[in-house]
Amino acid sequence: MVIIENLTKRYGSLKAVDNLSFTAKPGTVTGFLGPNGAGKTTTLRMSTHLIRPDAGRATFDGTPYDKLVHPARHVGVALEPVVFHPGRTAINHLMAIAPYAGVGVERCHEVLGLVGLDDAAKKRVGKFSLGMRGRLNLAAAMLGDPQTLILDEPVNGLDPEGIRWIREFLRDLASQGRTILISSHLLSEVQQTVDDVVIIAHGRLVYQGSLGDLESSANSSIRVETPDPQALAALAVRQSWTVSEVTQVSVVIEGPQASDVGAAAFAAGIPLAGLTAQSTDLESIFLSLTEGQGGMR
Amino acid sequence: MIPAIVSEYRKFFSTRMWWILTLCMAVFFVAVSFGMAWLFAYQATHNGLSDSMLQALQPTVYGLGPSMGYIIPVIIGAFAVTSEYRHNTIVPTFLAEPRRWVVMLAKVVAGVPMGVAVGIAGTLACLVGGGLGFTTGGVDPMLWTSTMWTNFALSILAYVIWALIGVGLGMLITSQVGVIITVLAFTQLIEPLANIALNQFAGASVLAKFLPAAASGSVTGGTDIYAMMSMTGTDGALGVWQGAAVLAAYGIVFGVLGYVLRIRRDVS
Repeated sequence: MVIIENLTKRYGSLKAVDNLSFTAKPGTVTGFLGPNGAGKTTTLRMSTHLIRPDAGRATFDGTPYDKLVHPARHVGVALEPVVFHPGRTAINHLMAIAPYAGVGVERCHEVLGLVGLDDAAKKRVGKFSLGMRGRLNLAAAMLGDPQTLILDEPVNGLDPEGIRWIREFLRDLASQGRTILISSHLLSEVQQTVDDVVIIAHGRLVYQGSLGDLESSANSSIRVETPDPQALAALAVRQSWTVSEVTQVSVVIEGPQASDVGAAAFAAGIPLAGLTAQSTDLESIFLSLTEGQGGMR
Repeated sequence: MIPAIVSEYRKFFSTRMWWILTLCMAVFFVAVSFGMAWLFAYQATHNGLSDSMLQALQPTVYGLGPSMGYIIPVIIGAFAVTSEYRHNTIVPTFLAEPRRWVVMLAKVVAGVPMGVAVGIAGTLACLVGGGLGFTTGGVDPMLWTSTMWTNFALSILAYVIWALIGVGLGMLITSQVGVIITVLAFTQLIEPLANIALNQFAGASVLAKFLPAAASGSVTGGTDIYAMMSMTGTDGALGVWQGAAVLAAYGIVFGVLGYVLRIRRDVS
């Protein structure tokens, strides 16, 4: 369980993170979303004690990060940008963290296997591709077999195959009861991975809840094809539905269910040629949530 | 504390920088000590340099490392910190151990074996180069005396202290290039000038022995090459342990200042 409480960070007059609170629950993958510059990285860095917050705190199963004894055994963290000493081999990079995680060389090879880097153990990290670096970063976070994982933009730089791989990997970890918090600036990138979403814009929380609730919170609209659009539009107004579009052959109505529109048209004797429910896609919801916050700073 | 020390030790010995620098240093010292030893031997055999003068000069040649080449252990020690800031590996390091003072203290402790490794290489290089220089010049290298072995140990001690000063300096400057520029500017320009300047004034000359190179020379037995070259000599040079204490004080001041001013800062 990750609990963020009233985290605040000011840079001069700019509030990078503004009284932000949210929770990531065990057994779920929580997507921490917002456009670039929304304050995601600052929040993650404050949570892990890299940046000192002006106010508020973050706890991991009740303990602040800097009070965890051997944090690597409780919280696995992989932040962006991915950083390694280019001259060090993959296995030596893990071996440098291993003492903190309380593990030996066998576990280092084990996590390399877990992320599919067994063959690259003795390769210098400077020769790694972006995708391989991402995997190594994840392997490092997994070293101490932590109950909580915090991954900053884990999908960045991965090819489609890699994205599918990490999706299954994270789903599997969550099903073991772990708490997974992943950040992304694109909802579509993580939409098939996350259960819950936390959306921030300009350092403030704009949405927290399940992905399903976010989808159903969207206004759905119905495109009705009819030979008599004028009559149908008039009917919609009488029913106090919103008409957003009228063409020669169709009307777009917002508010009612498709079945209500069909029944009303039947009662009014208006012939219909087609009825299509159009749900707003998640990315548009995401954009409207994050852009409706005062635009560019 | 133990995990942090093991981690720092592994980080250090898993990169190539340290042995490349150490190797360059060793080659340089073999060459320089050979040249100096041969020159002194030539003076003794052809130009009437007295035996007692020669025997006084021999430890200077063998102790050349710490007084002339302490740049190398300083840079290697500093790299333990600056390399982490340069490659931003300070982020995973502080994630693994959020108590930053533990990390920094571990770097200091892990700096001891680094200093020993570099010290053995540097000291051996001077013994080999100097020994060969004296022998080919036709004089007894005097390598097998009991004081030689004391000097050998003290020379390694000086390297270790210099490596630790480096860690402190790295904490204060955190930029790799910044450390190199600072060290070069200080050792090649500021310190020799300060040495000369301080020795011009009767009241101030007492301070000259507290300059790093002079203090380092006291550790290795009053064999500081710069003090010799400045002709005035050191004004009642410090004892071995006083010299070591002065050097350690530099390291502690750098480290504490660095911790307060740099290390505690936000990492982004």
